Amino acid sequence: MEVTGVAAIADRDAALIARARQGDHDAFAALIAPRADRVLRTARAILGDEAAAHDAAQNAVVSAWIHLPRLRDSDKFDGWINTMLRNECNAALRHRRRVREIDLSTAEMAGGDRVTTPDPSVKSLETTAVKNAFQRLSVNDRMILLLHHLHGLPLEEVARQIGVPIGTAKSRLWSARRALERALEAER
Amino acid sequence: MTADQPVLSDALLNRALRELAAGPEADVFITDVLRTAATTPQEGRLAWPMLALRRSAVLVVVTALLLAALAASAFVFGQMQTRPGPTTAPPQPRRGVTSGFAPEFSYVAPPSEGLRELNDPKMPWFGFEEATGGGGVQPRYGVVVAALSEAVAHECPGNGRVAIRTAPADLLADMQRLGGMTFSDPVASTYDGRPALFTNRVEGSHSCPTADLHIGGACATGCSLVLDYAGSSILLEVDGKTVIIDMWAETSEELASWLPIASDFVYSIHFTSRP
Repeated sequence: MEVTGVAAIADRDAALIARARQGDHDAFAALIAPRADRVLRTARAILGDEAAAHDAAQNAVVSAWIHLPRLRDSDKFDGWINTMLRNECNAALRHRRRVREIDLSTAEMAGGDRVTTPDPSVKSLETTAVKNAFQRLSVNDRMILLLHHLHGLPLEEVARQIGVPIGTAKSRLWSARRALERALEAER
Repeated sequence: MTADQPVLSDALLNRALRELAAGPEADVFITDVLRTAATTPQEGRLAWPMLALRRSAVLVVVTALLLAALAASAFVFGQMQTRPGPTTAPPQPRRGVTSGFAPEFSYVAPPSEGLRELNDPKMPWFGFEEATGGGGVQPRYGVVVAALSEAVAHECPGNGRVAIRTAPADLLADMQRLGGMTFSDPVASTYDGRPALFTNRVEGSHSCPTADLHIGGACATGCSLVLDYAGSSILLEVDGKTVIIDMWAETSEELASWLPIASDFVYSIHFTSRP
């Protein structure tokens, strides 16, 4: 049943992509609607800034629309969007460094009171340390961790989403996890 | 020992990532993105058959072009060797007229050492910025003349996008009121014979981290001016379009060094149409 469902979605997407490649905006809207939340949440987690995430996600999706006639294999659509999103996030991070150094450990204070009492909960402190460590990773590492741990995609789907063989995805996921652990140790 | 202790549990990682990704629903985002796509043309499909060429055929063509370019360079270099050497007269100021940028204007370019000209006709701006040699190194100072076909700022507080008014005084007011940006009080004067507003800003003085102005234009994914630097701006209307002339640098100290050069360029500008 599940296989049939996945196949049906793939067929539906292939048909929508074919129409969108011909300039059909409705088809593109139908393609993007179920993906928008994931794209935006991924950008938000990578960039840690709502406005920058909104811009990066929007640029990635509009780029996908512009260049859609180039896409040969409809099965690679998700991987393709992820590549564009990764590039946009990289550009946004470079841009942010140019504009202003942001102290990531205090970034979440932005917009709130600067003088706050520390949360006494160890759990909260640990979460904050992981969030700070996450922001030290490369965008590639952040992306694969998000696909697997935030969006809950199985390894096969992660591999499809980033356009690599499953063995490579497994190895990259492990490396990203190790990089995060090392960053976390540095945070502590 | 330490290595045996779990450094990071799945539950902790999942919780941290959920918090990082938390935010408003994607409804506004979907609306924004589809509206932008609706007014953005897709890449021409004529190029598609080219991509289907065999890689070897492409390599042959590229190699042939490279060889032709090398031969042409060698010929030109040989010709140069046979001519008398140039005199050591100082470089003359380079005068130019924008092509592709509307509204068109004439200008005297600043000395080219260390500067890169921004003259891509696809972009709604013209100007000069520090030449960094690429590699992701960002320029630290520049001067840009930009023409607005729309104006959108990021709400502050908040993160959505909001359309703002484009007339110079309204634009400045809305960027401050809705976009949380901070400028000095605008001074009304004239520029190239037209009424204009002059204002300054200090780096990092805005209320929200993202201080940019989306100005429309034909950039593939939207053109915007970053305004979180130190800067000195002139706003005026030319041919019914709002034009922003912005001399900027990463810090106020760098701006002070850069302004004399940038000002020479800015005050050499004459728009082709007369007020």
